[in-house]
Amino acid sequence: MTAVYDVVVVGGGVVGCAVARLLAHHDVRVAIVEAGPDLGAGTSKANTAILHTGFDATPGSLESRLVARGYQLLRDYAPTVGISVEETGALLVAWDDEQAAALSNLAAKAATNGYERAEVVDATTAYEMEPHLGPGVTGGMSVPDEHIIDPWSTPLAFAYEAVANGVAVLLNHEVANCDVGAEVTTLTTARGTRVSTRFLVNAAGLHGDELHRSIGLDGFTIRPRRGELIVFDKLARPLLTRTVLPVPTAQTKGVLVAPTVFGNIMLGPTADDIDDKSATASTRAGIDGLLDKGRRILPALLDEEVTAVYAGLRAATEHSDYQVSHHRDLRYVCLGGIRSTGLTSSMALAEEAMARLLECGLVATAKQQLAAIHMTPLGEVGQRPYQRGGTIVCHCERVTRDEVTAACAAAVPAVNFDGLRRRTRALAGRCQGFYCLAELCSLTGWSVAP
Amino acid sequence: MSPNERRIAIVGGGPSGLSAAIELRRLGVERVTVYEREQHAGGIPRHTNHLGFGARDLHRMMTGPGYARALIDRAQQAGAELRLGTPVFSLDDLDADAVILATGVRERPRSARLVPGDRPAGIFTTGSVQQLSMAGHRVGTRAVIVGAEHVSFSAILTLAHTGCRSVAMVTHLPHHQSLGIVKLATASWRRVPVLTGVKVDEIVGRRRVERVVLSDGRTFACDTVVFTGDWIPDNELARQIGLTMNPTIRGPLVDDAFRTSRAGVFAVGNLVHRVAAADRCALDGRAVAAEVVRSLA
Repeated sequence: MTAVYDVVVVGGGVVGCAVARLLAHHDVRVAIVEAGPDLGAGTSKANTAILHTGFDATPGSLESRLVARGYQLLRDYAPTVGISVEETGALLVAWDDEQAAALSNLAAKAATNGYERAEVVDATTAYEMEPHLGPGVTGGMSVPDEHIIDPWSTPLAFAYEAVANGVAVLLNHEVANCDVGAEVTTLTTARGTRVSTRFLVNAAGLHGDELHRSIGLDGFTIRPRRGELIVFDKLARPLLTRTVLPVPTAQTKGVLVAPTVFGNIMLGPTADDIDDKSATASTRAGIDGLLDKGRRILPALLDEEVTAVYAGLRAATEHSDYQVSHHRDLRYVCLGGIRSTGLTSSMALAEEAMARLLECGLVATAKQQLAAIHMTPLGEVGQRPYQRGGTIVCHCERVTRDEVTAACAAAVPAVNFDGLRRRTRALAGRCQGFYCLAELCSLTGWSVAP
Repeated sequence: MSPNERRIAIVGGGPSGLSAAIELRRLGVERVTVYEREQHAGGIPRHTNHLGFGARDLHRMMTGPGYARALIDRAQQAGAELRLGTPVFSLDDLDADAVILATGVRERPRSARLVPGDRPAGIFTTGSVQQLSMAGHRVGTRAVIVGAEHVSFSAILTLAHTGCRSVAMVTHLPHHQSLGIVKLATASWRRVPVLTGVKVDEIVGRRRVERVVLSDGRTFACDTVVFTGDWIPDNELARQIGLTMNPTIRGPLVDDAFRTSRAGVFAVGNLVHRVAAADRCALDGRAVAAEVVRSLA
């Protein structure tokens, strides 16, 4: 007879890990059930890494409320555990008269969302703020409180804290079947393993609709929205001080140019609705389209080398808002349709899930003593380990041997090069392994052969 | 102070940096320090485990590792100081009267070439494959080689050494850029088709590379793709200290005496010109020494 968990969270992305972390603050038995070999390795790893104020959300929506709340929570939490976060601000840029005319409405919308510090500026001011912008700017709106954040460390910090406080992490557990009994819900994995729990939280991201249906519910279908992104060399970083956003249209928030906490500049994302939930390939059309936009926004950017090109899939649905619901009879909470804002709203979604679990009948008392964690910040602001000595193994990102060793011994250890990259930045730099791949193989014992 | 009492710092311990150090010592400069960020000096030849090194400077035909060893030995015998595992992030760290940048080149990886598709395991540069091979790691079983420069043909040999067969070499250029004899001894001998005038349009494979799709519509099943050549100077330090850059080469602009736009800062080797063989870079290093001494007189 296997143990019965009080709560199982399906999905080890940023949302699932945030939920598990908050549950771990209570005296309940919790497990994260993740299909893949690592946490934070799906939608959570491939996003624009922005901590949004929520100024442009749809007023009155659940997303608007949770983004605003999540922004506060994560901004406060990040520095306490070593997640790099920078207050760069953002500049929304208008490129024609129509867009310039729309700016005052956007400022009013921001105020409706509770964000009062958006300020419409003229073109001259926009160029003063970002001197490398291309010709043709007609106006702008400053959003000084937008932040950039380390998107890789955020789910991992949640997970490490959850594990430190007793949460089990079940990796390579792809849920194939879900049977809701009178008192216990039993998940059966693709490999035939069973996991039993009293309460279930659906944070399964792109596959959230499938889990929802397997419980016998309906109401939303995930149609992945692919976003391709280009990361430019760190030598491009002086071209930009803040995130530069376009004026959003009804269809999309558009292509932005943003600094990253790792010291690069990111251009993207595209927005293509596709059918395949695993289609994370970049495309020629996507790359060319982004470069065309980048050339207009920040012409000098195109002279710099590209460090990475990747595509992420947002869990978009036919609805414009998040699909959050709870079902007392099924002891089930659904956090569905969490799109690109999920990184920002993750901690607020955790609060939301907690409240709904309690409404479903979960009894949870806050623990008196909690184990704290601290991670080595991966961002460029603040001191990095190599500056305190230590042997650098990845020269592009200045990652030390000790950091690699630590990542392989973390609470949820790196088990492959992708996991190592997200925990240390090793291999994420301009040479993409030209110098250090062989040494990393020797250090980790991992093979690059099929 | 005479030129010989000055302190010269050389950033990069590859063929050009080591050769500059040897020659500076030969000219009587007392304090010559080579800063090498890796744990071993020698640069790229260290991992290029076949013949073809040393003809122009040492007048011998050597393997890459043998050549690297010879230059290191000569530098040490000459009395140059080698500081290994010592990256240079700023010239302020150096306390030198003149600095020679010899930071070399790397191959452009897949991402910098904007090749679309999946991001599976199995995508390498020649540099990484050479080091993997030297360390005894296996790489894959069927490789497509992107690029047709000298190094690309070298990649065929290195892959074969690891038990990986090259199934095609692809270049977007109308002709390969190596010597006929090199192509004959590698690609032709091993029956690797060299496809010119085509690009890789897409890499396909979820976990591991499964195939590449070419711009002419052809598809090659493979588990490994090696991006070769298409060199880019390691110009980070040169850029950060604000040297005027050569937009074509993407390294610092230098005059006939290897002088950069900043007084007292010289640059040599593949950092400053179109990629050349190691021994040519070594000759650069030899030549810069006299210029440095002259500048300090």
